[in-house]
Amino acid sequence: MNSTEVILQADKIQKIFPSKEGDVRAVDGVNLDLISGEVFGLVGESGCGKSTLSRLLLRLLDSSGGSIKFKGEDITGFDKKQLKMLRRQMSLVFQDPHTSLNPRMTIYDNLARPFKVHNLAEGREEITVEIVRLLKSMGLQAEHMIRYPHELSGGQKQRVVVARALAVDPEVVFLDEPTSALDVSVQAKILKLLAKIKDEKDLTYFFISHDINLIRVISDRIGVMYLGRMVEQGDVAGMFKEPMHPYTRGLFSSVPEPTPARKLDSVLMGEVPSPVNPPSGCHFHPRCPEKMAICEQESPVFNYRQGRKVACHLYNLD
Amino acid sequence: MMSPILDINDLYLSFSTEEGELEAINGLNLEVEQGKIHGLIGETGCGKSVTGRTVLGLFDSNTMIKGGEILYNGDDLLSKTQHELQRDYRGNEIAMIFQDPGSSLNPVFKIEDQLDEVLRIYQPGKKAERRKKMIAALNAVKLPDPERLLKKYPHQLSGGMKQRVMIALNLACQPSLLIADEPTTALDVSIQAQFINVLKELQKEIDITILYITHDMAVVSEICDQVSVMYAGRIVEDVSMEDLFNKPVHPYSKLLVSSVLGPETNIDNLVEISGSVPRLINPPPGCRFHPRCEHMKPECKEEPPVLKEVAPGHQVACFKEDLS
Repeated sequence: MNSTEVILQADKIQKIFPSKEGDVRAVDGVNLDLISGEVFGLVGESGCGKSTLSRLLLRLLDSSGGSIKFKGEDITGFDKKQLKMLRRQMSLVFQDPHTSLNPRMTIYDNLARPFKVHNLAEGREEITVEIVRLLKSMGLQAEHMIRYPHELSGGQKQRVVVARALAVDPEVVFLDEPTSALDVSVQAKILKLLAKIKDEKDLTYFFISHDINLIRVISDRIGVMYLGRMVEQGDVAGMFKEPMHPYTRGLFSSVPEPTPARKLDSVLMGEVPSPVNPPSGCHFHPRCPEKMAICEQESPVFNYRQGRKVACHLYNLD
Repeated sequence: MMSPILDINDLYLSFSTEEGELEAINGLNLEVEQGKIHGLIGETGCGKSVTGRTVLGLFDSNTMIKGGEILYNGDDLLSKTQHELQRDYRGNEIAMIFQDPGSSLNPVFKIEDQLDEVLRIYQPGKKAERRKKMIAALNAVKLPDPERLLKKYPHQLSGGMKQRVMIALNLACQPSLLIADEPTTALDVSIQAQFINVLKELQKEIDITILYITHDMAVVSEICDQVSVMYAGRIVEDVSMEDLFNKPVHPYSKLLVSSVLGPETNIDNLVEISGSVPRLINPPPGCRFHPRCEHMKPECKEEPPVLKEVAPGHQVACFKEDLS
């Protein structure tokens, strides 16, 4: 990262899903600055709102409150035409490569879609040139073009999905658990490829994963979400050296490490409560080993500390 | 040394497919010692799950057993009929938990009915007695408030709770061997950590033997005593968990160990494994790992190497001269 230009900014963004049992506050007032050229890793247990947040930022979902700015421009109220332009600047890679490609289309047809939709290349010849270029940059061969998705392995399919996301020449790529359906051996290849492409094309990544070891490898900064709220944010090295929020500490210590001597000790107890009726005050207090009286009453605010943001009453005392 | 509770010798198993015969298991040798948590690891498509299912005689119609024996406490399970397996082994002796807890429980029955069904089939007795056993099984897996839980439906439970109910269901009949096929793959790390701790405590308390199938090396280091590394239908290394991480011998085990993401891994030193598990319809001759192996020698293409002891409790199937 040589610049600190904020490319995507969310201000108190919210998403409320109405349900029979009451409102589900899937994303509850999240502030986020995505810096141009960085890899931002987002972690948290299932149901914490990670995927919803990314869909809000991409404007695939309409937010219930707050604002989102892309390169300084407010995109919260963009109409259909403006959104189409936005889709060329931000793209998305989904979790499961097996369901992300149309099984009835060849790889060529799957990859030709973005070029046709956005009028980026005209005619079969021009599109073919582009597709071959994309496939090669992903370490695939031109001949893969005529295959169907079921003829490719999981790793090859995921490379095609990444290629499709890159077809529009975006500036920000959202990666939602891109390797969780793949074997470790294939995972390493995809990660290296993603890192290489990012440097070549000067991309910004928003990377979601529940695999904390993986987030540590790929990210520059990390955000930790719990029940719709961001609880801690900071650079990778600092966060792993000294996680401050009790949730971050619990989450990190639950990660199995490939060191035979170490055993899981202070693991996170309990489970994520239902977002329909979240606990009062700090959402984490029922599971928190360091709960204080104030935690049940007041939501903590983000506090800055040595380049770190933490939402916890432990750090609001002084 | 104690005699193994499960001893698989020279097992050969194929699936008939439209494209030809798929040699899924090809001369598998596996010994699981009583009272241990034994890991079975390898990439997708190595035959780990097939091995687990074969022990219980859970076959698809296109399965062909080509040879070998599966000894459970000395009895050959392959010579038993489905009826004998069902009556004498499944449930009471050997139980199995599958990957996805969500689809392993019947969504239209309460937890009580599902637990009771197991007990009615395998351990008939009075209703009050069965209920006591159910509560005990739920308590054993550290599920809070078992009385209330019995009245719930699967959709009212979280993934972690469902997986614990699955263990309770399996343990209700007090089997001696539990086969766990990727039981935590669908769970969050926090829930996975809780699950691993429960399973480890249980294993100590009731002295059950567990065959733990996984592709997650980090989980192996947390839970297993002994580990068998499987590649394309064969065991290539059988080693204690500590030695697997400290001094793996087989080139494939070394690759697996080096591919694990740890605290010191970064994008530059990340290890890539080239190639992938071969298709087993026309597998490579000899050692099936040879196309991906950097120590490949001419003889590797001819005969498959057999497991040789390199140290007590450590066996390796490889032609490499320096097996250390």
